[in-house]
Amino acid sequence: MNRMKQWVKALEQSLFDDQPICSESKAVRSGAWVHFRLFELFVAAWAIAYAWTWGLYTFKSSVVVLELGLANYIHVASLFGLPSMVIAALVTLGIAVSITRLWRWGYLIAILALHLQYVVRFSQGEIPHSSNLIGFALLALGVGIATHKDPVAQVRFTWGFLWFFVGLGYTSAAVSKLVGTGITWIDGQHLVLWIHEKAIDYASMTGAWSPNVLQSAILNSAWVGTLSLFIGWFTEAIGVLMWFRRLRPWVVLVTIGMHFGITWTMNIVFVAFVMQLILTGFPWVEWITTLQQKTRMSPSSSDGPTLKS
Amino acid sequence: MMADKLKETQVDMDPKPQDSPPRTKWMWRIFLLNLLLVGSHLGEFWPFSIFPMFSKAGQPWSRAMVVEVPLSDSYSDPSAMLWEPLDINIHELKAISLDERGIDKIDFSNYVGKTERWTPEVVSGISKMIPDRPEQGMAWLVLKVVGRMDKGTVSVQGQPMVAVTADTVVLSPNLYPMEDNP
Repeated sequence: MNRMKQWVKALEQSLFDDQPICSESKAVRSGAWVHFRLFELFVAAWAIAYAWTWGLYTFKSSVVVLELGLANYIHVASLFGLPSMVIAALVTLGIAVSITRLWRWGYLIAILALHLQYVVRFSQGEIPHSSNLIGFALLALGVGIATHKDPVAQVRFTWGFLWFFVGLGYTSAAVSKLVGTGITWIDGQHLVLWIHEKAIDYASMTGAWSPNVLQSAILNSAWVGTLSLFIGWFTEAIGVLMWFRRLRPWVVLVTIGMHFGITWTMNIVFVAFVMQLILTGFPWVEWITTLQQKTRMSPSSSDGPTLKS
Repeated sequence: MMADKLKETQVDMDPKPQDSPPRTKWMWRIFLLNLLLVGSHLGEFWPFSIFPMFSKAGQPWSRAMVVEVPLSDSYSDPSAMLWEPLDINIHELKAISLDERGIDKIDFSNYVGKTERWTPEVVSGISKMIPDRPEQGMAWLVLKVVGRMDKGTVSVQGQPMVAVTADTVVLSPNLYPMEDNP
């Protein structure tokens, strides 16, 4: 039990204390604050875009095929069309009052409303996961800002909470594959079958499909497929290593590589995932601060830029 | 008042983080809530999820596709070549683009793949979805495409369901409701 407590304490320290906002350097702390506010703008833009595009789609919906989340308890068909526009407006308003810090509970209202909008929109049979990372980010901001008054504690909580759930999510995906199929999940023929499925989808959508270099290699040799699936599964499995700041940039880098791999093999694009991982997964604050300090220390820097003719 | 509130958003550039630590208990509370919600809602409660995508490998799948073929005179004959299942080679994929016609590929696949009883209304739905028609002498075959893995080999086969011609939309004679078959 004591060991468990020690482990939890170590994890909490890694998630919540080992952050640029806790740095000794004032320049790093200022940079961390600017980075956090930019992240808030990024999450706000995506969440608002999702709220309105999902809402507009519901004008085409007429019946509920799949009940997700709150749709198990609410008759979501009555929210198709105009009511979904009200939900989108609520998401926008909640985000607006929280990003300006006029009301700390706005983000929480926004995440609840966005959950409702998700279950209304995706009551048609499809269960996409492309928006889950933005959902976690909005939830992290919501809980972090509603439960803390101190801006530094808000920042520390938000990042710690977010990395906990993002890392857990990737590892959970790896575990799901073991539970759903077992160790044979990595058999390259499975990837060949998925490439065929996505090829039909793509041809049906655009009128034609031809394999790229990676797809050709996998279709020609199942071993290439097995290697691809193993690398993908392993990358997901190590997701929890994102909980540790020193390992995070490397794990995020291979995770971004995995997302590109999925795009090249199965034509599934992860725009929001990759953008969020790039924005949050690398030590931008430290890099920019170091660059600024080096530029200041450089003897020629005081002369300013010169134009060469 | 708004200006005062906005001032609060400015972080102290010399903060003392140890004075006001984050309330980590909230993360664990939400983690428990996450377990409860995904555990009681088949693994999905956005944004919480067990992320089960592609977890069941090797399962057969079904999609839909429209291809152009020459129209035979005997298309009302169930044994006509037109209605024979097609082995699909994905290296030579050519289809009628649904995107160009404003049709969502997933909606179309669900419509074709999940229909169990091909009533005149269902066939009329296909006719309405596809706004244009092929040239005379050609047919657009709506295929239900099924992919499966058998003993380590992947096969993809298209079952013709409906033929859209320049003048009409015809259901495969193999799909007539049982009571209509002689």
